[in-house]
Amino acid sequence: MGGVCLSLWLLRAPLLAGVARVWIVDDALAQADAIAVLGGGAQFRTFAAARLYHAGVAPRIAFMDVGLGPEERERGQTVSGETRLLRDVLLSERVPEENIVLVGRGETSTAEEARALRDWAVKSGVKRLLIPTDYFHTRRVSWYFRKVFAGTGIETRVHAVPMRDYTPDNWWQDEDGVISFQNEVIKSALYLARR
Amino acid sequence: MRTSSSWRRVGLGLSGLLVLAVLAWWCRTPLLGGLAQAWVLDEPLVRTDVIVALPQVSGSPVLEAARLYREGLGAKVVTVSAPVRPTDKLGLTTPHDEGNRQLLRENGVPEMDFLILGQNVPHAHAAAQTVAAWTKENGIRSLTVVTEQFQTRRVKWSLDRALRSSGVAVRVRAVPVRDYTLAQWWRSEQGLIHFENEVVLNLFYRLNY
Repeated sequence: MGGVCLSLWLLRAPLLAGVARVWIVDDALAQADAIAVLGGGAQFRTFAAARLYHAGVAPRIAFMDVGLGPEERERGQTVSGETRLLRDVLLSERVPEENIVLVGRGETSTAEEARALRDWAVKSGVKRLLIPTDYFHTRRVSWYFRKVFAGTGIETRVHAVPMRDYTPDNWWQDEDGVISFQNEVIKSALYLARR
Repeated sequence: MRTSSSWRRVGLGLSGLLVLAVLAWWCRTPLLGGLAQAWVLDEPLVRTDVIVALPQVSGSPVLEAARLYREGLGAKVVTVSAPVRPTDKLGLTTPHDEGNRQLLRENGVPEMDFLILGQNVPHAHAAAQTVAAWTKENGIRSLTVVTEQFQTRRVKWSLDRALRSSGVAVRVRAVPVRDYTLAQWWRSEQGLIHFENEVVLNLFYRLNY
């Protein structure tokens, strides 16, 4: 038993990196009809979406109408600051306005976003949707989007966006890496439980 | 092969656990509220040399630091420089440093009594190191650190370690978060996430620092 623990400790780096690499989903990039930018990702996902757009991966970007925060509701806002920021980043990154589409009505979770994007994609004739998102978010997104889009004939692919402060090979050495991974494990378990 | 008395012991043990579980469920409200109260550090306010605002999820610690300053509980307010975000670089969002500066100005803290320490300080641990270095260089003898309630334990631990054997007194002031109370934190998604994350981060800090 002591030997096992010692071995695990000595091999913790490759083991933990291996766990991350197994968890992270990063589908091969292929030509898509649209790129989807999920809420909560203004600092990374939107920039990744703009890069993919400029690389010719898809002709348009669908970004989420993110739900209002409590203070925004109190102020009587109708559009959340997060929604405006997603759009502004895309425009700043030189994505033409005519190629940006707002999707949803005040979505507040990955599950709601998946359903809103499915409804939009079905109406818009999308056949392949690419979703760039944070490393550890990819597994839940990949699983849930496939579930929600099942039977529509629309393929969803997930692209793992590199984070600023950590990589799959050192995530356990960074606070954000540890918190992101464990939050996603918990949320994924909750999603599975609510299936 | 177990004897009948050992099976009885197992049965009694399991029954005892079941009773405890039922009691815990029945008393979950005071138990969970009590757990949060035990976790959060909130020391009595006294005048200190400096008030340190260390926000994590909101501007509330900065507002509270300004209030303490106005009440004469500290001669200066300091905070720690936050990382510049990609949207800040595009001019689409106000950098946290500028936002904090504005908040303090609007809430009665003059520029000469306000300092931002460091540059692009990423986490509470680095913030504690930055504050500790400045404190020692400037002969500060006492600090009141203002931060969100669940973060107080980790911040206090980090600063106590960074200021070990310096003789600097560190007091922590807990600022409530708008989305939940300590009595009902588990009913809010934000409350669950914040508390659980802080437990994990405390373990991370003790293992790494």
